[in-house]
Amino acid sequence: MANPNKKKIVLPVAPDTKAHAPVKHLYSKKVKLPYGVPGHGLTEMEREVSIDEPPALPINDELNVIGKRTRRVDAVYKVTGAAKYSADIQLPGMLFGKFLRSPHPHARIKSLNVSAARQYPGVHAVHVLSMEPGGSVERESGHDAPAETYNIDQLPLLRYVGQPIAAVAAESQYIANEAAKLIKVEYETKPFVLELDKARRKGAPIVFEKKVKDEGNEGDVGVEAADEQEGNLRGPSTGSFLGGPRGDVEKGFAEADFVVEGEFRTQVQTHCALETHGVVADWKPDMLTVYASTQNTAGVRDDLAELFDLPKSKVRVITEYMGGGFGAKFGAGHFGVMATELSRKTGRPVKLMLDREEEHLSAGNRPNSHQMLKIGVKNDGKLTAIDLTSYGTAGVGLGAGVGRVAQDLYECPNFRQAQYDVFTHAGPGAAFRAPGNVQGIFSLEQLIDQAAERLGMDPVKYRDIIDKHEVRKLQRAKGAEVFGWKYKKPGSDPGPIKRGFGMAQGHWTRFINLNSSATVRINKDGSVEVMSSVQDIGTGTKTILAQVVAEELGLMAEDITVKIGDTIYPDGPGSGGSVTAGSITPAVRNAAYKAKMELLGQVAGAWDVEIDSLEVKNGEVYSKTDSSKKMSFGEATKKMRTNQILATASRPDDYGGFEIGNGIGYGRLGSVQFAEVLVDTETGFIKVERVVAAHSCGRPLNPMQVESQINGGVIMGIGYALYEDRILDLNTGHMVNANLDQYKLPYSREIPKIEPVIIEHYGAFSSTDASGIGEPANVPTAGAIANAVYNAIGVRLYELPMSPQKVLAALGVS
Amino acid sequence: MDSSRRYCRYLRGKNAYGTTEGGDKPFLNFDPATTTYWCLRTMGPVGPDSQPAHIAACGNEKRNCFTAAKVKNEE
Repeated sequence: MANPNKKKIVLPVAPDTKAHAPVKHLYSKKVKLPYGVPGHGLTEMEREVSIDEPPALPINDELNVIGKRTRRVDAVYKVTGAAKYSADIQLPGMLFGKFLRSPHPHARIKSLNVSAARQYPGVHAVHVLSMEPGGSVERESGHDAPAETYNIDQLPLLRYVGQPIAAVAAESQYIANEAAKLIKVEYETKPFVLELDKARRKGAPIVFEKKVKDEGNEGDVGVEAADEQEGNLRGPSTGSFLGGPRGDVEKGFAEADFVVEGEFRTQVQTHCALETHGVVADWKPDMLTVYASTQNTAGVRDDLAELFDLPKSKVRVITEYMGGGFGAKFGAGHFGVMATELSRKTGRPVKLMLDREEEHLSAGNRPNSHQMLKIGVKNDGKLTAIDLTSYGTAGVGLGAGVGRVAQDLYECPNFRQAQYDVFTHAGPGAAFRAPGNVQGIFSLEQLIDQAAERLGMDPVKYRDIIDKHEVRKLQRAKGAEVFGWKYKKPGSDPGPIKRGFGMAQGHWTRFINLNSSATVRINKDGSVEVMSSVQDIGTGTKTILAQVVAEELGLMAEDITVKIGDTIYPDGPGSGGSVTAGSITPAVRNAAYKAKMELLGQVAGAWDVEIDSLEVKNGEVYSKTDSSKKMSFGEATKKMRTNQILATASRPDDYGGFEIGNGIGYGRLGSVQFAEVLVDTETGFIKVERVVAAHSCGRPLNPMQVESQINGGVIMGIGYALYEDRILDLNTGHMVNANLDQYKLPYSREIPKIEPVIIEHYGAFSSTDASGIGEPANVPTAGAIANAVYNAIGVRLYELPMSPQKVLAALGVS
Repeated sequence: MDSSRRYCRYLRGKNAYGTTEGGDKPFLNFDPATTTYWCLRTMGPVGPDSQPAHIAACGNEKRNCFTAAKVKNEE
């Protein structure tokens, strides 16, 4: 179990403590909160908290709304089509945008002529992306601001197929598409490199000639920035907020009784949210309004305000409904900036939604990886050394590491890692549901299984020896029980179709975004609203906010009107890193509590009783000491002195503080998954039959939605394990499967029976004690399937996706 | 001095743990191997000078495209 009082992590470089010093309270109080897992030694933890914090919430069993299976408050709107997504927005006079993108993986633009496009009937504007005059040189001090006009030297050097060059705005999507083709461009093509291994070799075409010195690289936390670069190779990164290398790895291997090691490869996975990236931008003299498919309304507002030199108060971003986002929908995006430029030029709203091909090419992806992992093991099972080297390419971007699971999932005194980025002429990577960790678990968990096999131990029991995380231990036990876990000898089934069982686990850091605020409004007619800019990206945020307010005010979730996804409301967190529930729900509960206390204060005045004698429950306000004093919530609000009671609150620091500040909470979110597969050894096809997924996310606010998130994570993990793969034509640099036909996602026939197991786990961290589940649900799936495939056929697969071709090759029958 | 002022005003980042960085938010650099950066002016991982957008390179005030952060009394 997470120990919130354990010693803080010591970083290799001291952090700037002023940037995240703990808040001091003028008045504080002590509260006792549930701590641990019900049925498994649940106890209480006393915390000193601000006097403004609400009383401790009991465990879910003792609550009316929180923790109950609650239907989504917007379910009817979604299933009837009444919900309006960004792509559905239609504004008067709206124009449609279309990009011209690079057809070459590496080229210089020799000439560009937009006149035919401009003159095409129905076209209102063309905008060309311009670059810095003079290009990549260091200048003398006192330079001028960037020029407003461009010449041919200011056109971007093209480094991947799909790189945006220009865009048009026209009266229909058809006209825009046609006009974009009329932009005439003469290219000078250049040598390019697409493959990870080739890009690392000497003599490979260089993606970035390093012409600018790196400076100011320590960041605020103090971790080195891995900025060494030679050729296309950048790094290595050797540390993180979890620290750097530890112990003596060579000594650790010398002390080992045996070593397990392997070379693993994972593929590029592209983002396939059902709603593509895009916006409708509406530039008006008094306000820029942007309807965005984003995971971070406040972030889009901030980006556009900065870039267009507008006050934040003059930019409004709206995301009422959102069709999925997995980490790549942060920031305004090239489409957001372009739509805004075109709207500013034309004075009309401009819709610019990417099509599916553009989504694959330029909207981000999970980078691939090539991992060399080696683990030293004693005969008693203990790990003596872990050594990891990885290479990955995020194309023209960075961030292709493989996470920190090798560093932190199991106890091991000697550890080192070197994670390298490799530039290639391909579309940029972006954060993707547990960045790095999914890749890292595929290799780590296969080697841990190999160690168990060498020891002659059941993989579940072996992990009980080397993993002391108490919640994961419970997850292993409960998951194994539901799964009916019984380890069988690898490849022992007779016949061509073989059944296999496997498991894997993972973790995810508890992270809190303190930019999380909300307002609760109680109206005189008895209606209640909760408002924040936080967006619901499809996970059910609207519903859990309604549940939290309803619980505090003694109402039902459907009594609460949720107004979120709009920057006119208080800033909410971006929805990434599985931070949303843990960040915004304490702010919402605290605001509801403040509003409730104001209401009760007014009722207490009217009844001439003490405020703490009053209770709100089951739609009624009543005195706990005088049964004659009772009225409905609606009657109570009619007695309000003003039309509205408004209360706003922001996310305070975790009770007990943060592990290293800046929102990194104590304790990791554990996850354990079990998979059952069938492998056809004649065709190579793998069918996942069943997955049992045991997870914890603090206090589960709505178990039905937690299960939904787990289902989604597992399905995405199956796609990653078996099907999804960005395939680039090595002769042209084009993606040959930039669609949802040849880029294979799991469809209904490939989705197995998924059985979520939720461990209710209290850490006494906040007024709701909730955490996220999006990322943890996705981390272990591919590893569990890989171990199950090995169990089925007795041959291990070291490369994703585990396609029929690779299965047959591994079996030596291709 | 605000630590974020050492970096170009147009540099933005996102770490694996969901937090965006840059502007009026600090660069946290929790995990360099999985943090992505972009330039607001190109809305891509490359700056307007055709070099990578990165916490290291975008802290170089001599970089051709470097633009200092605004200070309060300029806003």
